[in-house]
Amino acid sequence: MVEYFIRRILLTIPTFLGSTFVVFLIVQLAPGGPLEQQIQALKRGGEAAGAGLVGEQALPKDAIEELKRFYGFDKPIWQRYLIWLGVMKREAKSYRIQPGVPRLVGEKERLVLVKEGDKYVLRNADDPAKPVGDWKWRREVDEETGQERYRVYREAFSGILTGDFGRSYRFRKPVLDLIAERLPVSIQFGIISFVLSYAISIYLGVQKALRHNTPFDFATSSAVFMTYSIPGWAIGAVLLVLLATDRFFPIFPLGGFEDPLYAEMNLWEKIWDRAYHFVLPTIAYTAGSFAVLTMLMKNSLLDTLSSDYIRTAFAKGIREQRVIWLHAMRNSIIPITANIGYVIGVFFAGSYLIERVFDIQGIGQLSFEALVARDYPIVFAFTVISVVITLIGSILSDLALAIVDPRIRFK
Amino acid sequence: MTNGNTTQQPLLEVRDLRTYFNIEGSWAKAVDGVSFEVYPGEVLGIVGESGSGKSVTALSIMKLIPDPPGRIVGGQILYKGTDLVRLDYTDMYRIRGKEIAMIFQEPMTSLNPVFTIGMQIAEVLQAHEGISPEDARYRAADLLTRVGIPDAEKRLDDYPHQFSGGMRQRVMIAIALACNPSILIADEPTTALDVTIQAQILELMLELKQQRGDAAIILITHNLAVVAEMCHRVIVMYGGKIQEIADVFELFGNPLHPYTKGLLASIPRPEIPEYRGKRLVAIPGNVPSIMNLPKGCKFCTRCSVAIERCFTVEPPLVEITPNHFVRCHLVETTLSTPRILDGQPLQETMSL
Ligand SMILES: Nc1ncnc2c1ncn2[C@@H]1O[C@H](COP(=O)(O)OP(=O)(O)OP(=O)(O)O)[C@@H](O)[C@H]1O
Ligand SMILES: [Mg+2]
Repeated sequence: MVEYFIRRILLTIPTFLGSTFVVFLIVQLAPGGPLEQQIQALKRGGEAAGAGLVGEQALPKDAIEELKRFYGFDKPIWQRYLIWLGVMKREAKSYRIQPGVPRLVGEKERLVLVKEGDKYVLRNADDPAKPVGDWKWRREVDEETGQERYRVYREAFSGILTGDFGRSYRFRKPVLDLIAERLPVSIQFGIISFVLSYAISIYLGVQKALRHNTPFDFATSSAVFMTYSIPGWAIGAVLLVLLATDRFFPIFPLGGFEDPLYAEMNLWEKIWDRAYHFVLPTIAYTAGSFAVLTMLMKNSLLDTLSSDYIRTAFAKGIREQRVIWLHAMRNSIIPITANIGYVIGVFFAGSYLIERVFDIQGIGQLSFEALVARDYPIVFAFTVISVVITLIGSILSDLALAIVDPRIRFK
Repeated sequence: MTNGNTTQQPLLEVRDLRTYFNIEGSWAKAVDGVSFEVYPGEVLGIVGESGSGKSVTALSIMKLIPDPPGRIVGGQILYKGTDLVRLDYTDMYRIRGKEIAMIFQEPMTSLNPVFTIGMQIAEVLQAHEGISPEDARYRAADLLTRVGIPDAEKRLDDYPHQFSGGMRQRVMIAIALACNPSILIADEPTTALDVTIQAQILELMLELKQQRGDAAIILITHNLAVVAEMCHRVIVMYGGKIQEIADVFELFGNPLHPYTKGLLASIPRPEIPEYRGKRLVAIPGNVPSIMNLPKGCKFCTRCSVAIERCFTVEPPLVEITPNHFVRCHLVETTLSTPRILDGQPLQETMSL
């Protein structure tokens, strides 16, 4: 079984590479890709600075070159992908340098390019004995003017695998910081929604199976399919109007996910406050998920209950409660378990609309707005996180499956 | 084998059992007025073609008829004087597995795939004898050894998919024998198994009788050779009704019902000189659907000797010679006061 999971985890690597490469490709090839974005941003910056109308030509060719190099557009796409992944070195820092003139790189370090014999050598400007570390230099020739230029640069692995998702164009902050701000809220909602929707769906599914074709069964079927067909944000909006505005029953807060004074509360008050803020959004999040899981649970249990081994259990004189909750359930949750990965993926991705309705600063809003604004580093980061969560989810599914089904365990 | 000791008090008395299934609004009479007794120490065979109601009879005794669509709509099942039909469910749990145990036809699906063999055997002991898990496990290992599974201690932790069909049926027998039931119902226990294993499995069932001499076995089978080998008395069913009951020698030597004669003609019987070398004769036609059984004798549509009356009037199950009952207009009783094994027919208007 351990072997199986090692193999299973190793198998996620090609999946991860494949899916991220596809996203990378699409974003790179789409019009208005990262480079154009950055150029636009620079132009807008120029306008704002009062430079007046700036045409295409107005952006210095130099700057464009610089950008291209930064994004690796001077390299083939597979190299760009590897650089972006962080498994191939990228030019992390790079400065123009003139031979003989010291150049400040980084905070304090000053480098100088000196001629020794017929070769140039890079030295620390302040203390020639000190090593220059991994700084390198190279000569470039300007295509148009034919002039020679020199450049010092340092290469480093810096990509998503090293945790570098780049900087957001819009927020001008590292993407990782932005996500770190938003992810906890989304994870909390994700976990709560996940646990709730499974707990409720399993219980409801069992009750429906046991009361198959009764008024209870029909009523709950209509209810879950109604919540399934109404989008979560609409349910959220209705709940807000009914239960948060003073027009009807102002019981719950209108939005946000914590009280302004949250930081000063003690633990119990914090938990209470969180729960209080989470009730309505959680309903909106989970409402749509019950239908599929409940019906899956119900049909699976009905199936199991008519199987031979359940008849055997009854023939042994085992009590009904035990037959249902032990003998039948262990078999009926197998199909539901297989669904865990998918459900996790859905919940942790957050939902832009529900977050908007409840004014929650979650990952859903961040990613949706980033997509609209073509803030690619965030889009990338979000995709990567989704892929990772889905992969983890599918491994969890398999693990859960192996736990409940011995036929898989021993394969 | 002899000894169909019918002078004792019966262990089980089935009286006018009627089990119907609701199929798309109308009631299919899967078992319709079945009466018989099971005596201590006997092996009672039930034979009949597919769909004749053998399994439904057995499941009715266990009260394992799936409802819906099925329901026991009439009759009594007296076990040591208690009517199981009216017994409430909590009391029935004490009967099943403890007093009456059952083995099913399909060993491949009869064990729960997600629990270990050990758990599934120990469970029945814990349910009925209130013993500790350790004791139950110990006894489970013992039972497994007794049904011929080597290395039992180790195999307790195996799952059903690690066992072959024959071994699973052995496990089922171990479960059934665990609490020394007084009745073991085996519904075609060997049909799904290899011929070579069949004899061993049947032998194992007789193990119960070694444990307690008064235990009875109800053996449902298609295989008349098995009946001849194992049973003391035989019930022949057709169309949800008993057509003939007799001692095994009487039945094989002097079959009276045309259906029984047909069944016996359809198996090879090299032991009887006059049958040797003759071609087997199959009963013509097919079993009619229980949704449209004939009004009179259930077998009339396939009977080669049927007379007009057979199509309109259902014959009663009459004692022809002592302890030999036949349901046929064409068989005359030899007794002056023959017993009749039929209850009053259900009122057709009775609400089900
Ligand atoms: N769960 C059920 N729902 C509907 N009809 C059923 C059900 N169980 C049994 N029946 C019907 O009852 C009739 C008798 O079936 P039963 O299983 O007792 O036959 P059998 O004599 O055991 O046949 P076999 O030799 O094939 O096992 C059949 O016509 C069958 O269709
Ligand atoms: Mg059957």
